[in-house]
Amino acid sequence: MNLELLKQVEQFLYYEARLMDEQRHDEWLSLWTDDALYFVPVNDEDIDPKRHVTLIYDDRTKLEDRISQLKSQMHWSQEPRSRMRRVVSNVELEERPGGELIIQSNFVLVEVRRDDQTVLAGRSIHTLRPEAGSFQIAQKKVLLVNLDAVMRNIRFLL
Amino acid sequence: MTTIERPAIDYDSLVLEDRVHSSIFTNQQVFEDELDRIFTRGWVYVAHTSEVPEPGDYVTKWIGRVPVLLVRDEDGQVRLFVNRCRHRGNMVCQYEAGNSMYFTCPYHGFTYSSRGDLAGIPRADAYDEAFIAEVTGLMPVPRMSDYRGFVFGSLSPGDLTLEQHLGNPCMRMIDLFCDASPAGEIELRAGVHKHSYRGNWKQIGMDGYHAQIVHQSFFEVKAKRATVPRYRDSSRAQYGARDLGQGHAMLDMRAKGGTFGAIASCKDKPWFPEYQAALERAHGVEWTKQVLTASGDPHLHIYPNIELIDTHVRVLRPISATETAVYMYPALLKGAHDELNEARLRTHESFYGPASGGNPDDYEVFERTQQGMMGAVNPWVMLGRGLNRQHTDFDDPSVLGTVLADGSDEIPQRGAMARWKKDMLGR
Repeated sequence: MNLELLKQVEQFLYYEARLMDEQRHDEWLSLWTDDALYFVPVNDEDIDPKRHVTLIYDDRTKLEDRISQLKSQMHWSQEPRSRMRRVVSNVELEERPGGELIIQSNFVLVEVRRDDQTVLAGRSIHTLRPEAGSFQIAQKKVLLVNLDAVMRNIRFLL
Repeated sequence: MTTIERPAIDYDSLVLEDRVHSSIFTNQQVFEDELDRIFTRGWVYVAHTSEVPEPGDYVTKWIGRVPVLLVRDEDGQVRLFVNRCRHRGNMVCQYEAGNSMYFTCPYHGFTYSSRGDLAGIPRADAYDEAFIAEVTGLMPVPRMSDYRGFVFGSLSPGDLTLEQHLGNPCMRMIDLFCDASPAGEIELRAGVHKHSYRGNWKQIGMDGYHAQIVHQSFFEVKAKRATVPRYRDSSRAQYGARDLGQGHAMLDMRAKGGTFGAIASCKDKPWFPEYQAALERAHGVEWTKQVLTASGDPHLHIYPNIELIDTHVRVLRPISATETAVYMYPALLKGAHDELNEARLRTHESFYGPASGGNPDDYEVFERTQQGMMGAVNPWVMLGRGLNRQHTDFDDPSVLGTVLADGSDEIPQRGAMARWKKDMLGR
């Protein structure tokens, strides 16, 4: 196992987590490739998005629109902003021929809005491309533990 | 020994022509009365028959707080039961959906067939003929009926038919939703968004007035992409709000010009002319024109608990005076091109659902309203917008006799509250 690469990937995931927690939206968007795909299924982990609704199924354009709206001061579901911190762990690394990396990891995220505290958890599957000494995110699939439960607003980055 | 005495609430004084008392949204006693007078006595939407296409298919839902089981039996007939074992009350079926010819209670093994009959009891020798004669199977929900596959149930017997409850204008607008399919059939088989807010269920209703303010962050993003024009004068919307009677209402966008929605976004696809021709063959040229202009969206509220909006079927599940769960099922169109059905999913996700750009802001606003309404020093919620400019529409045969106002007017709220008051007074 390439421990050096694993360490670099973990550091990258922690950095990404910090950007999401601190709602540094533009910096987070800059981590993505042009052929970005951000996919959060609903109801089941293995849905086909062509035939089944999703929570998030963003290409680059939709991702930019999502960030644009999250930055608005008049996006009431994030006014005031949530406070968040997440822990990323259980990182597993698979190197694909051609250089892409498939990273699986778990997260536990605590979000607080006014006096409500919500805990979310799930598994992320990143497709990373090495880029200029770091990585770019080509795809990210997030499998929420509560993907089939009734949920309140989720207008922050997973 | 204690008893709880609850004085009767004077509903007559809480709903006036242009305002309602905010306690109807905050008082848990009102909620309990609603469960009795609306959700137990009247017609309540349960599920769509497309959710149970094959024999043995079932779904579990609620009517008010009563858990129900909708199953297509082995002969193909759809049946609706209370999801409760006749022995000691266990909730027999624990799954949201599935396929089974038998339902076995996990407690003592009482087993029911897909027709609801009691098919077996472990160690039945202890039970006599009287028990068997009494406990014949799952309790059927007293009334069940459907229109265009939309199944409604009533926990009480009664004379009012489903058609009478819906009324012609409402049924015609259900037609509009279904007739976006060349086969005239929608299919709820693309999943569901389950989204809740800490607020009263009656906060959801047709409201054309809020969009420009609540959703301005969404529209600004779209305006930057030049995909949606900015609204200009919000006091006169480009569409009408209709009271369809019986508490039903709609935002009528058939005059809008068909620039919005998934169907409109596919107008330049090579397959669209054939899609339009198929609709015209099935539903006629004039009606197809109305369906396409509205982009298949009747924006319809069917009292008390279901709406047909954009591309989805929305079901309200009241949990308490201050909590509501909402289930949004994107509706696929049978016989339509795969690209159109996929477009319906994608446009749905952009505005609806917990992570979307649209209704999370609605729910945030509902939660703030629920908090604000606790300040009942002046308890009145003002619903008089447009009282001075509403009129009865005798021009449009599909919605004859409905009361029409500007799209931003509060006529849907007044219509729903008038029906609500009638129900709460037991009339």
